[in-house]
Amino acid sequence: MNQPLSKASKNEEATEGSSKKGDHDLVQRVQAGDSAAFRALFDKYHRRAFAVAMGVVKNEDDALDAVQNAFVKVHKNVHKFEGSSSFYTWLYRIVMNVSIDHVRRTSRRKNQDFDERVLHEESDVAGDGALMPSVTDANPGKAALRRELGSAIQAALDELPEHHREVIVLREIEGMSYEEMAQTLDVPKGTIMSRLFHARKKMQVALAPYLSGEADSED
Amino acid sequence: MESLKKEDERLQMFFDGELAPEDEVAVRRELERSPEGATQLREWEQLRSAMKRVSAEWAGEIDSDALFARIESDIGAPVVPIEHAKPKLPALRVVPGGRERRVWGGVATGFAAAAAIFLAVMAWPDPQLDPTPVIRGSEVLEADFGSNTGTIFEVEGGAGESLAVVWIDDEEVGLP
Repeated sequence: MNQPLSKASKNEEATEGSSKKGDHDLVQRVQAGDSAAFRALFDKYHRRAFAVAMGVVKNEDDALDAVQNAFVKVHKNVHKFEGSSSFYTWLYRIVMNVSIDHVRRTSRRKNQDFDERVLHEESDVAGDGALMPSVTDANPGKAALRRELGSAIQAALDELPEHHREVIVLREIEGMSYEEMAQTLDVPKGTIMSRLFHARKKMQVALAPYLSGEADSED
Repeated sequence: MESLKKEDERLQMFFDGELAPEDEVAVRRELERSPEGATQLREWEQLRSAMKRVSAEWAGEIDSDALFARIESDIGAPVVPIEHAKPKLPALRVVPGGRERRVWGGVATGFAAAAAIFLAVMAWPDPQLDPTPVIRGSEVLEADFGSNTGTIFEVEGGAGESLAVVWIDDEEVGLP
């Protein structure tokens, strides 16, 4: 049976506490105009913020834009940050909002453009347009499989409603606790748990052909 | 709102490490008799590891310095160049009743200008009523021709006035 993740999570909590204090000090320095402290916060979080943004928007360029906008907003509004929540949840709230705004803005245009070009591109990748290509039949290399899995995960995330996408990205990619997600998304913990359960269910269905044997290929 | 069964909720909390230690032990015991629960945990784990692996690859592709440069340019651009490029203008503020003040100021200035013109016209002397006789012409008392010689003529101008014309010869006296 799989090892539950509670131990790992508790170890993370221990380092999380000192990390929060470090963040708080850095934020105070940024508030005092220390640009090196801002760079330190950027270095600490931008990759994770990018991964979260990638889970919400559809491509790398959009995710980079989202992270850029999020850090610009952090810099401009850092004087408003009072430290009642952690910097980490504040940042992810901004990243999430910026990413979702981006998706909403572009989805209107993309819905209009959802034409033969898009369908054609998909069918080029996945045969008859389905997201479940017979990759095992073709026996491609690991790198190709990972690319396929990456595309399939993005496509599956894309199919989720926003509120499901948010929780699964914050939990599975960012590893946030229920409490942190509740703070970040400003909804009760019970709602987080329910959304997470249903999001997982949908992702499992969408990724079923890819996930069988995924644990075996781990390590 | 989407409902969540109690056992699903407990299993998910166990998976996410959100249960208290004593509850964790209880769930672990229950799982020994529940192959469905164990399967569910395995599927969640597969999903998690797939998402983590893919997201790690996403994040590995970032050019951090280039991204930070973009952020710096966004943060810095509006501040530095504009301050130097544009001359400082006085700060504008809204003055209550300012517009009315400006209108009445203009009207008052107009009245003052009209009054000044009126007074100037009234005070201007009428040439026909002036009793002082016009002195016309000129009288030459003395002329210094230097080393030259010359002549002074009195001629009558176009309006009948007497004018003095001084003629200086080109030749200088005493020079070869």
